[in-house]
Amino acid sequence: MQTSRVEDTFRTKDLEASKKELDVIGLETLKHAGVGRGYYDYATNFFHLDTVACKLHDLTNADAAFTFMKLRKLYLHQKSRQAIRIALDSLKKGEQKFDITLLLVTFRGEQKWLRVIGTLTHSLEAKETVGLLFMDVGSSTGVSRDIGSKEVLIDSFEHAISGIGMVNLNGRFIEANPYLCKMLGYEKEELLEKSLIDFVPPEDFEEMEHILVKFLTGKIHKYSGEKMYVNRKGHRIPIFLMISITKNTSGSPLHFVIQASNLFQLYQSKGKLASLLEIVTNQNKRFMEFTYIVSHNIRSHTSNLAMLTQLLKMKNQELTEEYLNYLDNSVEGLQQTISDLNEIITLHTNQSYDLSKLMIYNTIEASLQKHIFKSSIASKVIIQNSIPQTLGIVHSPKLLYCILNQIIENSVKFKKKDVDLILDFKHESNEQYDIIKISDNGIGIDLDRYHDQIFGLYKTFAVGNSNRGVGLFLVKHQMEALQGKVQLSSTLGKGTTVQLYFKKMMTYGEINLAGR
Amino acid sequence: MIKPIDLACIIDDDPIFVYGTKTLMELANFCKNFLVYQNGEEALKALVNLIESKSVMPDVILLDINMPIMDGWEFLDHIIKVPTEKSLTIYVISSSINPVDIQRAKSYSQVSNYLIKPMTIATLQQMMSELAPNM
Repeated sequence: MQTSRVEDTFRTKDLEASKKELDVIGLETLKHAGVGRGYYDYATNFFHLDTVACKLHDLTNADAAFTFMKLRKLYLHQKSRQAIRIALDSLKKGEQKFDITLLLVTFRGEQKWLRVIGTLTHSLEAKETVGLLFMDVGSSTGVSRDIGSKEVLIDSFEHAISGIGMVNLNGRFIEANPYLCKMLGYEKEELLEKSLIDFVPPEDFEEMEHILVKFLTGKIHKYSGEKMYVNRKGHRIPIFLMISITKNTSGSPLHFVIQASNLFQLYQSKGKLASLLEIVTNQNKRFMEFTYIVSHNIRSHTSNLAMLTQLLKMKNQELTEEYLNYLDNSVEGLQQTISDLNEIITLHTNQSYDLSKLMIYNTIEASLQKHIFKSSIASKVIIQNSIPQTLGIVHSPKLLYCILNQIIENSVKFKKKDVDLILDFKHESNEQYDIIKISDNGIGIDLDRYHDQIFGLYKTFAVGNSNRGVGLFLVKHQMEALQGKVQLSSTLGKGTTVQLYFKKMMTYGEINLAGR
Repeated sequence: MIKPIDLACIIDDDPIFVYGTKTLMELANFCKNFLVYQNGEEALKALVNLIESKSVMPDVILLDINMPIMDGWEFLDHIIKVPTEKSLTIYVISSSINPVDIQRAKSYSQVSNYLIKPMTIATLQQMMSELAPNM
């Protein structure tokens, strides 16, 4: 009994002291544990922090009391600020306590996660306050960085300007960011019903399967390359595709991560650049050609004139009839060269050709009428024309007529003397061009000898005819003026074939229709 | 006074140039006789004939570049392969002031010089003085 009394006495006697002791020790322990304390006063809207809490917030003791406004500067993340607001309100509405984790950005820019526990208490003056405890739960362990970077990752995923998605091991979409949905043309819910293979062009099925199997068997860990995909509208669009695989801790595959960057605009600008380069290259080539014509052909006439005037100035030279003829010819030649040059320049600078769909069969017939049927050699010519009467070619009526005239005229001019001329017209086509092949059985040209001169200006390969060496030169430029080209093959003594490549184009009317 | 050469050969398809050059040659007392061909092929055939028959060869050949059938370059490529007792003296004479043509002419060791048209008395006199030591 004695003992129990002593015990009882001890309890009663020291209870008060023990409580005080506990308070002090408790506070000390909290301090050592890095737990900061504080309170929030509903009435004044002020936060009050102790030294440790200040330290946690990277504040000096001078800043130990601050308003809610200042708090906003510390808890920059909207979600954290909202959490504080909601927690404080919840106590007002009857909750006894809150326990939240907030992301803090100190004035030094450091990020840390703080666990904040709040309890509703009443101050000595019976004011409603919230007791607060602050604990650093992030910065020292690195958790904050991870959670922070996860937020950043989610943010990038949502706002990325490339398509990012996850696909399960069966190829089904399990996650997709907005950009990927937009690229493929589906809402996210729709896309999650689809498989990766739904967007792969048929010819790539096998390869894609092969790649995925390689992932699953651990042969590869990532894949990247330029690929095509088919969007909802069935359009093929070039992308740069990256695939990687995620695995669990034991190394078993979990799912695929795919990333796709749209290359459409890049391809488009590459195409534009290539065609611009082609234009510049061609213009340069023509410029060189012109320089040569000017430096040689024009000079040949002016030097003749210079020589003739030099002779005239010399003593005992009379202005004979023969002399006048030579002067005349020189001047005429000079004028002709300048007019030829002018024609070529106009050909390439005139961008506004009046294009229309021309029935090439009819144009050929019209040209044949002029050069053959109404001429003296009509009975010595056999025409074979297998060009479909309905074949339309988009071209300038004037140019097309000139081109065909020139080629038919050449065939007549270089016909074998005692053999009937056979003129054959055929049509072929490929993706880019309609090709009109015009063959004759004429005397032919030795292309081994003249292949690099055949389309040159003032190049002639036979003596004694009225040929000026302008025709094929003009045909070449007339074809090129509308993105076409011309090829010539020939065997000496057997005949010549001219192939006219007409670029497939739509007329403006058709373009408008297609646009609708 | 430099003596006129015996035989000059002009290979050019331009009748005005041929007429003018012949007149200038007469005025300058450049040569006693001419040979004129209208293109490389005609000239090649005739000259090969002269070489094979050991006839008198021209002392100088004036060669144009741009001609139909066979141009000056093709003529040069052929004639340099034909063996001759006395080496031929060839002047390329053209209206082309294109450096590419001038360089190309100089690449033939048989070509004495590249002359730019028009032909003048002064050019002929210069040629005569160049040819004189060989005669």
